[in-house]
Amino acid sequence: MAPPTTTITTTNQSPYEQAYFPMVPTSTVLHWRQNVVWQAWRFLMINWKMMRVVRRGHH
Amino acid sequence: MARIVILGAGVAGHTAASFAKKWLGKEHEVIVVSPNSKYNWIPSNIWVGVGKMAPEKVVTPLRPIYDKAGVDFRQAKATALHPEGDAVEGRPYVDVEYTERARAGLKERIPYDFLINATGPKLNFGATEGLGPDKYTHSVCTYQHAKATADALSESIERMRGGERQTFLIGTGHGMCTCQGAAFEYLFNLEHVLRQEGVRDKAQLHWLSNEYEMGDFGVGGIHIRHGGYISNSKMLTESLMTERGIVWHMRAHTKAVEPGLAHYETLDGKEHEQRFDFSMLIPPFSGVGLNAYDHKGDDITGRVFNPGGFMLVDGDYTQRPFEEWSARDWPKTYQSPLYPNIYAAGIAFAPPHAMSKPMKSPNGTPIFPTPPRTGMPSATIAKAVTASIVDSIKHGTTEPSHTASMAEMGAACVASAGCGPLCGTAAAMAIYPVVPDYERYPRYGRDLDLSFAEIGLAAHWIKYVLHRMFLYKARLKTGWRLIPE
Repeated sequence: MAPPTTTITTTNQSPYEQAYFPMVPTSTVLHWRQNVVWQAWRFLMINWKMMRVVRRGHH
Repeated sequence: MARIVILGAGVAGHTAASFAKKWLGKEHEVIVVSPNSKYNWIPSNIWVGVGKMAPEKVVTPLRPIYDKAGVDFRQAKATALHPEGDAVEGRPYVDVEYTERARAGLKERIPYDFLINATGPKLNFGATEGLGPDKYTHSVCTYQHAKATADALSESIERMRGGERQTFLIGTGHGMCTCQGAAFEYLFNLEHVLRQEGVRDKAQLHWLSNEYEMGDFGVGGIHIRHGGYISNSKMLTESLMTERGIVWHMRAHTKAVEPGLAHYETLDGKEHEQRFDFSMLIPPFSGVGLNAYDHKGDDITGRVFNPGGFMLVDGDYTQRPFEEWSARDWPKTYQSPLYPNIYAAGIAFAPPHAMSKPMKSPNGTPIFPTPPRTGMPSATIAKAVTASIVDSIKHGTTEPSHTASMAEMGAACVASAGCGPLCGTAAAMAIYPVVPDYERYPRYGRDLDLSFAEIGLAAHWIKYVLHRMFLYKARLKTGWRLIPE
């Protein structure tokens, strides 16, 4: 697995620079984004949500 | 026996050809004219461009598919339309010039009963000085470009392994680009690969975009329900940029590129420069440059196409300010108002206006995204157009029988943010409708129950499944029609 980037510093992270303001995922969020069991469930749900959109588009 | 001629074999053209032949059978002719010998599943070019997928995995030869289906394939580029025929040829016809090696340069005229213009975009690198793989920036718009980009990236990675620092500039190469999503995907896949290669600390990544705010994607941004709030895609995309340590430059028109230096103007009229060691900037799109002539041979290109080279169809092209734009302006049948037997599908049709709010700098430079026509809408439009034509042939209908307005359909997209079966991520998104409709959805222009965005490994799996599935569908294998557009 690729190492996380939260330790990467850039030139825009000082107070009031652009990267100071956006929300950044916590380690918990990052964990669940890659948790295989949880993402398997999300795979089913996202597909279901996408199919709803696909079906609305056919005339 | 009727003849349908389809110009182009991308998502729209190939969809049209596949359904046309399926629905019409052997009794009628379907001819596909395309300068390319292969079908390219373009969404996966991103992975080719970072070296995560071989170029042969994103293409499939067209001739065997069409031979099996009974479609007449001409590897040629269309150059001109003669929708009224001429003094010699009574039927309407299209001029083509062959690109296949055996007949390179040979010209032919192909008469038609119905024509579908699905030629896609011209990659207009020439709109910006120094832009493009023949000049100073890379591209992932074709699989060949993507392979060359991956090779250049490998060289950059080697330099970083040797201790050198590198600056990467990814984004849009003109103030009126579309396809920000593709550049966005490339940026995050690049970042992911640099981490995997252990050189991320040697790389400075910059995002350069003509969007007013991050997350616009040419659709005016997306609102979704997220964490108990209704959030805009600006928040989610800025979060991703910050999470991955990327610097972003917005509201930018790339004016010129020199070796290692991009010049751009921002919406406030200021001039900027950004140095780079590696750059991938998407070009603006135009139509492929077809001309059109009437029965006497007079040039009628300006009546058939808009100034950008996209075909005028049944949209409302009246010039109006942004505040007066309506979802009803967008075409439904994609039929030419001048020639009822001509249709345009996919990127080839002329949109009535943008979806994002038009912006101009104090210098008069337009800096805003032009509207995207992604794979799903393109294929849906092509299928509807084909169905209308087939009804006309088989049942004698005089008006198009099927509609596919982008204001009445949704789009699902998956933007990869890193490739890998267990370490990959992507953002799965859907919007409904594609064109915001503030009459039906007054506050945000879209149905919040159907619009969503989610980042995670599952979305990466979906993108990979789509890759396999749509190449299977393109090859017209068993059950291909069961796979939705």
